[in-house]
Amino acid sequence: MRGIKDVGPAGPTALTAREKYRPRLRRTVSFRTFVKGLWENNPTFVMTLGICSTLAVTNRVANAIAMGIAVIFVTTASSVTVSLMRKITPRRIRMAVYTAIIATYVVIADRYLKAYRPAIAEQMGPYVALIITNCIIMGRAESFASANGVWRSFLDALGVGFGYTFSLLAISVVRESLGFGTLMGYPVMGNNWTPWVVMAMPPGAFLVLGVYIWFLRSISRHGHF
Amino acid sequence: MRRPYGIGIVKRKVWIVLFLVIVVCISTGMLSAVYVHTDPIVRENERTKVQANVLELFGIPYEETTIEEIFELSIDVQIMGNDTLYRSREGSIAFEISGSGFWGKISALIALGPDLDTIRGLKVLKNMETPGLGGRIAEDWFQDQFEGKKLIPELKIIPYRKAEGPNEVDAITGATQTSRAFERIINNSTEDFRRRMEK
Repeated sequence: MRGIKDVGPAGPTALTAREKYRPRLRRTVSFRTFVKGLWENNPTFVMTLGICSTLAVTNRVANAIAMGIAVIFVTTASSVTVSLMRKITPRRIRMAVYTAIIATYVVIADRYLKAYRPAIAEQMGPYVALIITNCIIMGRAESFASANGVWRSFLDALGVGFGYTFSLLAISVVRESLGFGTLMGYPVMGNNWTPWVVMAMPPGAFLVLGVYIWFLRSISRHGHF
Repeated sequence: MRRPYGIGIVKRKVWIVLFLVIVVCISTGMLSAVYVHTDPIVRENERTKVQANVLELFGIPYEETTIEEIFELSIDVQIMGNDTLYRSREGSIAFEISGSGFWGKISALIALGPDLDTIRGLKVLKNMETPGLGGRIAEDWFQDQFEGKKLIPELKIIPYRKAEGPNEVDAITGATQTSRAFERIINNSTEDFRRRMEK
């Protein structure tokens, strides 16, 4: 079958030439699950979830990276746990159970950051602890992990976590360079740069986020990604 | 663990409560373990942070690994009421000052010479001022200005011209409120401190 596909009439299982030469990985369910969170279901730009922390920690790139790593850890750990327990969790109290699970991982992340990266923990202030209220994590637990197997839940959470980190990075690069004239603390704008104060303040994140969403929706097909 | 069909409503309710109790117990257990493990490290971090700040304030050189030794050798810690005083070998005294800034509380460490009216150093510990404007009080160029300034008759942060006098420092352009608040905090707390030391 495979050998004649290019020349013969297209049957129901026929692949177009373009599909045939794609790497196989891209067609697997696992890979699709992972990539969905990065782009199609990007938590910040598409689902507009977790905006509070996005506004708070994107003033500097280093903060955005630290927050991203913390959220990736909490999302994957809690999604895996929720998925493991999905068959024994009574439906009526599932939200309470999710909250307990998420809170546990958030406190763990917060304590270890304070113990081993005190400088970053200080910069982030209360926002690591506030990951508990980040709706991205509860969203993944409720809409995906509670209905899917462990491996797919892990990939889904990982994708969404990286998607969130990617958005934070995209916003913080603009905010730090315009608001402070630096990137990762190194000056990039030259000596005569006048910092845009609005970019260093939370409203600046709203402006940058709005412009990004506008831009991404304009270039995407059919109004969604 | 899946519940069999036909389970009674009372049993089901008991199971729900029991399940939540079990989940919370496991979670609490994990958190206690994490706390026991990290607490000494977190406390240690906080202590070395304070020590590093004090050493920096007195201009005593140190390295990350030797903070504690150098601190023990060169600083005497003394508790006075609610304040902790840090005395260096030359008789300078450092202590924490705080007060309300433009947006929120500002706290700083200040070091005074033995005469109590010359500033030896200043380091802002916490502030919630506008980032990029008032927040710049935590930057080195601003803090370094205070070294050697006189607190008699009072310290002045000058917004409208170049600071010239021995008791004057430059304000931050665009952060008049923060500069004014900071000036007030320094003057009030040092005056208060001098009064208590004279007693």
